Amino acid sequence: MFLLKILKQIVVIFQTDISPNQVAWGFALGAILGLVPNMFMKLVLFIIIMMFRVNVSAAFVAWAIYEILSFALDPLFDVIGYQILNISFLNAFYTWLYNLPVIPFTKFNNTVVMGSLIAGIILIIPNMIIAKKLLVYYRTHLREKVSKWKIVKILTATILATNVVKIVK
Amino acid sequence: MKIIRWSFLLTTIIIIALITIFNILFFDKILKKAIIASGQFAVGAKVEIDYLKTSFKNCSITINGFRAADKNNYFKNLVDIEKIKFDVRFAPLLRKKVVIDEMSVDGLRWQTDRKTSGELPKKEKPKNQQESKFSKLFKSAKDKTVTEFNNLPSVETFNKIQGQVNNFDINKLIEDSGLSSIKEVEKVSAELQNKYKSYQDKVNNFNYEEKINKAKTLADELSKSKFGSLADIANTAKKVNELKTIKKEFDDILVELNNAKKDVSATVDVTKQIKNTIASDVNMICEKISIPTLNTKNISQMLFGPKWVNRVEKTIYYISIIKQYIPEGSDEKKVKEVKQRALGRDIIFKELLYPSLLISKINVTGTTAKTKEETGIDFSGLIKNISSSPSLVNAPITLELAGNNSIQKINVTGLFDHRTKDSKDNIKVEFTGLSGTILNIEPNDYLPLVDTANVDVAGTFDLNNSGFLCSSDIAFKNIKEKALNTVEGNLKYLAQITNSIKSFDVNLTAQTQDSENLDVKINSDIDKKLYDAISKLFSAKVNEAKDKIKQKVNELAQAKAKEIEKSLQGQKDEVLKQITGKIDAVEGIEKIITDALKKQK
Repeated sequence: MFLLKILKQIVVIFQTDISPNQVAWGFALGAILGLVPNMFMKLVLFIIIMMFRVNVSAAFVAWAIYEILSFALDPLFDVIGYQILNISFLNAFYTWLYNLPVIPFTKFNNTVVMGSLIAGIILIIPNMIIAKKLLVYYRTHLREKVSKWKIVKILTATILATNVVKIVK
Repeated sequence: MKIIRWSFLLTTIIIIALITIFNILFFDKILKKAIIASGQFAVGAKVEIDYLKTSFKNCSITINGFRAADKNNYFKNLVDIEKIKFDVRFAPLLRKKVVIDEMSVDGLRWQTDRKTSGELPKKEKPKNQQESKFSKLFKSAKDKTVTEFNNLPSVETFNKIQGQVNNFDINKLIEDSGLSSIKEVEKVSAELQNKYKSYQDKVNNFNYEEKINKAKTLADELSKSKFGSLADIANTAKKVNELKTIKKEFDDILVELNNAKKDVSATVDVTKQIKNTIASDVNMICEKISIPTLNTKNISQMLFGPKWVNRVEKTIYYISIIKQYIPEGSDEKKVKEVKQRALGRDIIFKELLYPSLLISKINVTGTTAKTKEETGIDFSGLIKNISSSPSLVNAPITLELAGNNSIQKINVTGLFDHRTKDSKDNIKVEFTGLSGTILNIEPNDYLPLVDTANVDVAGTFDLNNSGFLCSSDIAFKNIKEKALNTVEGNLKYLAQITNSIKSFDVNLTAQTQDSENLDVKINSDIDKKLYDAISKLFSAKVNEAKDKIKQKVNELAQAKAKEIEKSLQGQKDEVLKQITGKIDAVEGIEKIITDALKKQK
């Protein structure tokens, strides 16, 4: 069911006319959501995604992709995070953050959390560009061909049916 | 392009608003219930709060009418506080830490009366409320000590004195003693009776008649004798010799009879004979009413021991409750270093650490009066550094309360140091000018009216991990006298004894060092004062009683002697009469013999 939902979301993103910018922002923010291991930080990022008019489906897709990727990337994030957290001139800033009321719940002082957050932030622009370009290229060159695939037709029909049921209800 | 997703934002705002409204409407009630529940768990009796109000603006809490019942007396309140107010710091709250910089506690009173019972319904009673090791130790030690106090020799002695005072009756005492003088009178009487009888028998058994006749015959023959021949002379000489022999016999009988007469006619003075016996009787009875030897060391133990043990038990119980809620510190300091984790490493920065609960300062005001109408001592003071982790705060809990009115003064200091594993708890209490009623000493015939005394109390209670030392000095002054006209019977003696004591001091200690044995020591000058008063009064009373006993014993013995003398008088007269008759007869014949012998010359 979960895979089916992911597939449906992918079909919606690719086959409909949703703004490529919304999809690109959603994908970039969703990537951070997937990379960061801390639940509190995930919650904060999720609220941000929900508050801004970005594509939530793209965010979920990116979350799923980067969640899987992060298992492999954790050792790298650990190294990055350790280096960042040990920058001496930032120590006072970290100490201040550490003693703020809510911030410690984000576990920013964990090397993997910090490493993955920084990596996610750095990847925002590349993720946006890649996502936008891929979407535009797809819609221009491949959408017609793919829409004829049986699986896509079924999924599209399912999505339409679901929407009709929602409207009737 | 619209950047913000307003539907989500509005939904979120509505949810937050609903939570806030819920808190405004119900948070106070929930918090009140939580405080009551935890309070009831801590004290084991009902906790009531009249009014509780929280303010989210400055995180303040106001509690009015806080009352916690006393689990040892459900119709008394352990504490009764008019108003408690404090502000909680917001930031630590987000880390589940309660930090209060300053708290004010106004109108603190204790042991106030309750209209309803403070007993918890059985189902709400805390099941697993653990007794501290001191409470457990104390319970067993207390029973042992109280039994020891009740078996003290002075208790027996006091009971003996009480029995003696209550049952003092000269007649009964004499009757129970079995007087030797009376027995002696009876013995003397029997001896006299025997003596009289033996004389009577002796007089009756004398064979006079034959000898008298013979003497008469010889005297008659001599008066008629003629000396015609030598044979007549020889015959007369023979008769003279015979008569002389008879006279000699009569002389001896007369001596014997005179002696008997002298002996019998001697005054019968039984009283004189039993004089020494009466004296020994008096001494024997007086010994029975002498003052028993008192061990002056333990009168006060008997009087104050159980009370002191109960008070120490109560104090230890409450300090134990405090101990229970202040965790022991640890000697090991936390080493702040990078921790290795499966997912990354935590870099630890210098943290402003807070304990779960920290109340930096509590301003306390209160009164010792149990009701608003009563005049008590108004006091005020500070409690500092209450925390769930004293080692983190690195300061012991301190308590300072002081107050006075025109007569009385109160000063309480306390220190609860739980920063290390070797915790130390100390409370010092000083009261001056108190009424004796505050000590709740039950009225006792052996004690002066302690309720009327002015009392100064200085107590110290020290607890550490291995044991405790509690000591208290109590000075009773200006004790009023018992009204003697309200006391009846022999209790007047006791009232006179206790009335002579106007002041006394008591020093009490209770300690354990090896967590096994409770050593309770009680010293007081009331021991000596009571002993002196008892001795003084009893000496006078004993002397008075001795005089009465002497008089009474004399009266009894003399009456008996007189009765015996009277009954013996008849027998004595009869014997004398018989002896006198015999003497007369013997003297008569002796005269005849003498005359007859004279003529022969």
